[in-house]
Amino acid sequence: MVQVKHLPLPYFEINKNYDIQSISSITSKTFAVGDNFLNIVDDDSKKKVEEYIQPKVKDIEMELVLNTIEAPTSLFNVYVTWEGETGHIICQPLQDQLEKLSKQLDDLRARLTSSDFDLIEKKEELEQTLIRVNKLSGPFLPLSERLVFVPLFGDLDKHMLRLIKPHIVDALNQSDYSYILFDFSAVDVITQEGLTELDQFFQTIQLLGQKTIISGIKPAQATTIKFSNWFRQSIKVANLETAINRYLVPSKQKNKYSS
Amino acid sequence: MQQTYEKFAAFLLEGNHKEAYELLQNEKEDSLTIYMEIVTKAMQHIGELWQTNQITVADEHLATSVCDYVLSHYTFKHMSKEEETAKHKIMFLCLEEEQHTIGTKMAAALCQEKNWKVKLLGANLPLEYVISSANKWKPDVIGLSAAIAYRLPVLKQYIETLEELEGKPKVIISGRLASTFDLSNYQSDQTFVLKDLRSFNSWLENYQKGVSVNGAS
Repeated sequence: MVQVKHLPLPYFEINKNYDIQSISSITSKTFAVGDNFLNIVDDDSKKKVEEYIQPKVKDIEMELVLNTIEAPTSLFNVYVTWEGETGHIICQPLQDQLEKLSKQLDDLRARLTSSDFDLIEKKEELEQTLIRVNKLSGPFLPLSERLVFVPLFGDLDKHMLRLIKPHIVDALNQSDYSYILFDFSAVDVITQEGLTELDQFFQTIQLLGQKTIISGIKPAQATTIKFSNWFRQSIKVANLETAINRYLVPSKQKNKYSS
Repeated sequence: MQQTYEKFAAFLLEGNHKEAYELLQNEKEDSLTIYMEIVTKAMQHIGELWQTNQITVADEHLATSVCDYVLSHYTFKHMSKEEETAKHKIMFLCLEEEQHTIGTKMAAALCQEKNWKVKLLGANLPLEYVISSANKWKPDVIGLSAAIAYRLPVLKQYIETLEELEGKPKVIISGRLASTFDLSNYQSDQTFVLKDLRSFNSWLENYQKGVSVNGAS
């Protein structure tokens, strides 16, 4: 086995008591080799050696921490085969690769530490606030026994409409209002999904027996909504003032004032 | 049956931080118990998996990083939010060339729950850096974590230096070395060796009591 001297990796030939029989020349450059293989094994790896490096475990590959000349602990991938009671061990150094990995993980860890959990919490808070803002964007305001006023604010998308719908429908359900006036003066964008949602919303209201009035639609919005059912089936009034004049004051009183 | 800590360890090894976090979050126990019975045991279990040749050191490192992240997330949810009124200051560090930060992270979290002001200096810190940082921040207590046996002489040097700092901070020694070796000869009236998180927790509670009694007298 003269050739083993020239192996490009640390090599040990041992007996079952881990006594070293021969080594490759690179071995003595890497380790302070004594009589016994266990002498270069780190304490935390000794159990692993005793468990897995023995004649009855024929071939095995495993990681071990070994003491080298350069470092007190260094990671190796170790290959072992047995020929009767003679063990052959080749050690492939892994420490450099490990250090690269460690460094990457450390950088990652540093970034994670600074990844601001405050920010995550603020985001959660913001989401809650948004839900609240949406909920408050369609207040239910009874103006008389027969007229309810719902001014809408902001952008009408499905999230916003789904949030305001339940409390309006609930309130209508327990009342005898004849008209529900939706004012769109403070509405900016109505999304496509918002239109679909409005359709269902108005249908529900009409099923409950109330007439829907719409005021404050801007010309730009009118072109996108003019074919929608909810729009066509509602009473349309140019602005809020007209709507209130027309529907707030009962017709009898109106006659009295106008005469 | 698979223990909770084994499940947690499996998530860590898969890199599944979401499931790992949810597992901690869904536990009913207090955080001390979670740190000891799930996190610590899971990390020990991962060490055993290496011992029994089932995983590589690279796997261990990945699991540790995931654990670190999951803990940050978990402890953030549990820390006391009244930091402005915090009375005591504690600083944590690992010895130079040591990377075992999970323990100090959990210890730091316990302190934050008790409304301490915490500074976590992290892994692998040269002593000079520790000194300058302690002189600036003036902690009441300094927590030192040591895991690797051949570092013992360095530990001694750290303790001696830290004890001499201005303000005479208390020094706590913990980590794997403190639970596997008898370090009692390192103890003094200023330095305490604490075997695990539970004894650290009791020490904190006594310290808080002690300080408030002294303060009142």
